[in-house]
This record gives sequence, structure tokens and C-alpha cells, in this order.
Amino acid sequence: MNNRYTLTDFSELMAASTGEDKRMLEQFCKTFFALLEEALLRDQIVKIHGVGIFKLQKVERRRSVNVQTGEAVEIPQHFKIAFQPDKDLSEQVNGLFAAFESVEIDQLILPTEEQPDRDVAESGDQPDPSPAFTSPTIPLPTETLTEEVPEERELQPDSVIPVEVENVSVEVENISVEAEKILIEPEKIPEVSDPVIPETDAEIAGTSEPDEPYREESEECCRSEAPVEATEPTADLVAAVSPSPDELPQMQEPTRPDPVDLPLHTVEVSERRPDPLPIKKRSDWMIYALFFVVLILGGGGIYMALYLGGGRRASTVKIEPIPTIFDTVSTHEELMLDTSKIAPPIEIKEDSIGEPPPHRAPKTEAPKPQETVRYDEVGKGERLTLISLRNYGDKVFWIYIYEENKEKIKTPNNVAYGTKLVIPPASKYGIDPRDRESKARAQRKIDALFESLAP
Amino acid sequence: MNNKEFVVELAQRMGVSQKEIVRLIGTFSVTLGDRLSESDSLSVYGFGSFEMVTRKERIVGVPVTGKRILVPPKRVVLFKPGVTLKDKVKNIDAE
Repeated sequence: MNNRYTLTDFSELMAASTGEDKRMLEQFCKTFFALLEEALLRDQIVKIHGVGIFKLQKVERRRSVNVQTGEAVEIPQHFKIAFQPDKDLSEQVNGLFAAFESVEIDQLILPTEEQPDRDVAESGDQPDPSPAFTSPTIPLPTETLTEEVPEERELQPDSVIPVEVENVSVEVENISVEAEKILIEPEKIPEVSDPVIPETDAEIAGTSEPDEPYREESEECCRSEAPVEATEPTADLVAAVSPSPDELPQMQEPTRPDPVDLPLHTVEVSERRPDPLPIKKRSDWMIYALFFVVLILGGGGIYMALYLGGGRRASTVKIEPIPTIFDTVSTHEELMLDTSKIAPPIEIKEDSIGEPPPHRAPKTEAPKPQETVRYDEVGKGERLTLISLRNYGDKVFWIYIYEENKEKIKTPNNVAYGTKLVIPPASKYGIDPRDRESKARAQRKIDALFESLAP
Repeated sequence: MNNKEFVVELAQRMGVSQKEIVRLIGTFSVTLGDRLSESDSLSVYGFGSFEMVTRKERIVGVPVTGKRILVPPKRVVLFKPGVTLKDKVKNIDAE
């Protein structure tokens, strides 16, 4: 480690590894490097298999500055020696490091972010059908259930339930309403999804039967759900109490959770007493999903309210259909939708402040702002170029702002803080940050201006 | 000067067959790689030194695709020309 070998030491090493004459090897090494040097100086390039390529590279003369004196110095043209190691040699040296591979970073980060979302989406779809299938086909696997009963009872805080049932009594009504909806809908949904899976007959039979116990035990069902809500009553309370925006989620609750819920109820209602734990687990999922939807809708609603500027009813009405459709499809797309919705408002806010940036929000509302005469104020430490960049999307166009405000600006290099500037509409000078010709024109004007300013 | 010319010339000077020279060059490079990967260095008086340096991992942006790529760390062979060789190279330039 970190030994520094001379040629003599090195030839000894070679001799040790091959068992050849040390002297001969040393002689060889010396001749090798002597010839290498000679050939390098003569031909400017030497290629040796297994070692690499030695090369003289030309370095053009260049200007530099003497760091100590600050004097300008010219470094003359000269050569430098470049060594490109042979592939075998560099691989040997790289050794274990070769196991590393270059990775695209976006790929590294994205999956971790997306995973939770997918889990939600998948867990909503996948895990639920399986219990639904198994339980109806085998109507009452009481043995296994009874086995589980004691443990779960221990786990379940029985005392908590009755207490909450009173509090939740209001919710129970809502739930019962939902339950009815669920009763109606599940029959459609599972049947659609079921045919894919072989156990269709048993399935349909199973689903049709449990409906009856369902109605009979609707009250019990409510109770059974009571613990579910008891775990997170706030969510449902919010849903029940708050008026307009939360009605949306409630509307959607049935759509998404249904496939989840209904089989659950059918299963769990019939065999409810034995295993309340699974309900809790699934209900957790439900609640997470619910929260998710409420958050998204709330965000969407707020945004729409801002976006439409007061037309609340219209906005809420408009929002509803879109998410509901996509809810059923997948939560993912909803996210995408929402982000796309949320992105624009920032720009719109800026609009309202008084600096309409046509280049930034071209998709949403490009035509509007360019017609009217606008004003912009010079911020602290800002220059014309910055203002131009803000308004036109390229700093080159500051020249036009300058021309428009000549009387206010003494020198274009230094504009007083707080100066109110007229921002000419882009069409007036044919300003287009994407057009090269437009930029070149501006640049020519700038050059002309500086020439005229120069003494 | 390419490899063949180099081998021929070296064989002539050493008074050994070209095959032998090729073999010796092989042992030389293997030993060199062996030593370098142990982070040893070989310094040849009047010529320069061979060292191994570790290049750290880094992030590279591809301007065309806008992707960012994490390039792993690696160990490379570094040749540092000696002072005398550098001088000689400079003199070449003067000619």
C-alpha cells in the first residue's frame, strides 16, 4: 500500500512473480523506457499493447495572468504528454469498482415517491377481492374463525365501541344510507370483475346470498362500522358536517370503496363477530383513501375557487365530475390532473399582481395581457434585463423597455429602485423570445445604443 | 510508433526475439496493474511515474435529454511525466 517503487524494485517484483532473472528484467525495463522516451519525442505517439498509448498533445498558446503580479502573460504553444492506459490495464486497476454502474437519477428517486400511491391504488383493488371470494364460496368457515376469535377479542377494545356508538349515532344514519348504496352497487361491480376469475358461480351465489343478511343486520352493520369510524371519527365527522366540498368526497366514497367495502361487509357481516380485526385493517385503508380523496378534492376546490375568482358554485359543480371519473380509474391520474391544475394558478396570481408574463403561461391565457399597456416597477437590485426577462422571457428585449421609458431612465445600466416603467406590448416591437431574428434585432439595437452612448 | 515497431526496435536493442519482448511487456503490464491496484506507484527516473487515483462518483447532466446520471466512482491509471521529460518535450516545441 502506497509504496513507491523504483525501476529496480519493480524489476525485482517482476522477477519474483515470474521467476526470471532479475538483472535481465531490469535491463529490459530500462531499455523499455529509454526507447519509449526516444520514440515519443521522435514520433509524438507510442502505442504499446497491454500498457497504453503515450502521446504528445499540442497546447495552443494562450493568455494568462501572473497571479502574484497581476501581469498579463502569454503562455506559448507547447506540448504535453498524455497517457491513455490500455483497456486491460485500466480494468485490472479498476478492479471491484467495475461492479458499479452509472444510474439515471430520476429513476432512482421516482419509484420511492410513487410507491405509496400505488400501494393505495392496488390495495384498494387487489387484497379485497380475495377475501370476498374465499369467504362466500366457503360460507362459514367457523372453525378457523372461532380459532381466531379469542385473540382478536383480546386485541379489540370492546369497551371503546359502545362509547363511540353513541357519538357516532349520527354517522350511523349516513352510513346506513351508504350501506344501501353499497348494497346496490356491489352486485354490479364484483360481477364485472369476477368473471375473470374462475370461481364465478360460487361467487355470484355468494354475493347474492349475503345481501339478505346484510339488510337484516344493517343495524349491526352500522355497529360494526362504528369501530371503524371510531378509530378516525374526525374524517367522517368532517365529511358529515362540512357542506359543499365534502359532499364531493362522500359522493365518491361509494364509488371507490365499494368494491372494497361490500365484499367486506358481506363477509364480515355474516361472520362479523368472529373477526373484527380485518375490518379495522381494511377500514384503515378506506380511511386513508378517503383522506387522500378529500385532500385532493379540497386542493382542487380551493384552486378552482381561486381560478374562477368567486364563481364557487360553478367551480364546485365543475370539479365534481372530473375527479369522480378518475377516482374510479386510479388515484394516480388524479394526482397528475391535480398537479397540472395547481401549476397554473401561481402564474395567474402573478398576473393579478400586475406583471402578466405571456411567456410563462402561454397555454392558459396567452392573448389577454399583450393588448393593454402595462407597468412594472423596478425592484431592489433589479436591472432592465431582469425586468425584460420577467416580462418577455428574454433579457435581450430590455432595449425596448428602455426606449419606451427613455425620459425616466438616465443610463440603462443603472435604473433607480422603485421606478415605474411602461412595459410595451410584445407585439409593438415584434418581441418573441423564441424567434432568433427578433432577438438579433434587439441585440443590434443594443449595440447601436451603446455605441451612441460611448464617448 | 505503433506497437509492432516498438517491439521490433526493443527486440533489436535487447538482442532477444520479438516473442520474448511481447511476453516481457505482458509481465510488465500485469505487474504494473497489480501494483497499481494495491495503490502502489511506480516511478521511473527521468521519465515519470505511474499512479492509481480514485475518481469520486459524480452527477452528470445530459443536455440533450435533460436526464441526470450518477456516474459511479472508479480507479484510473495516472501517468505523471517527470520534470526531465517535460523539459525535453518543451525543447521539442522550440525546434
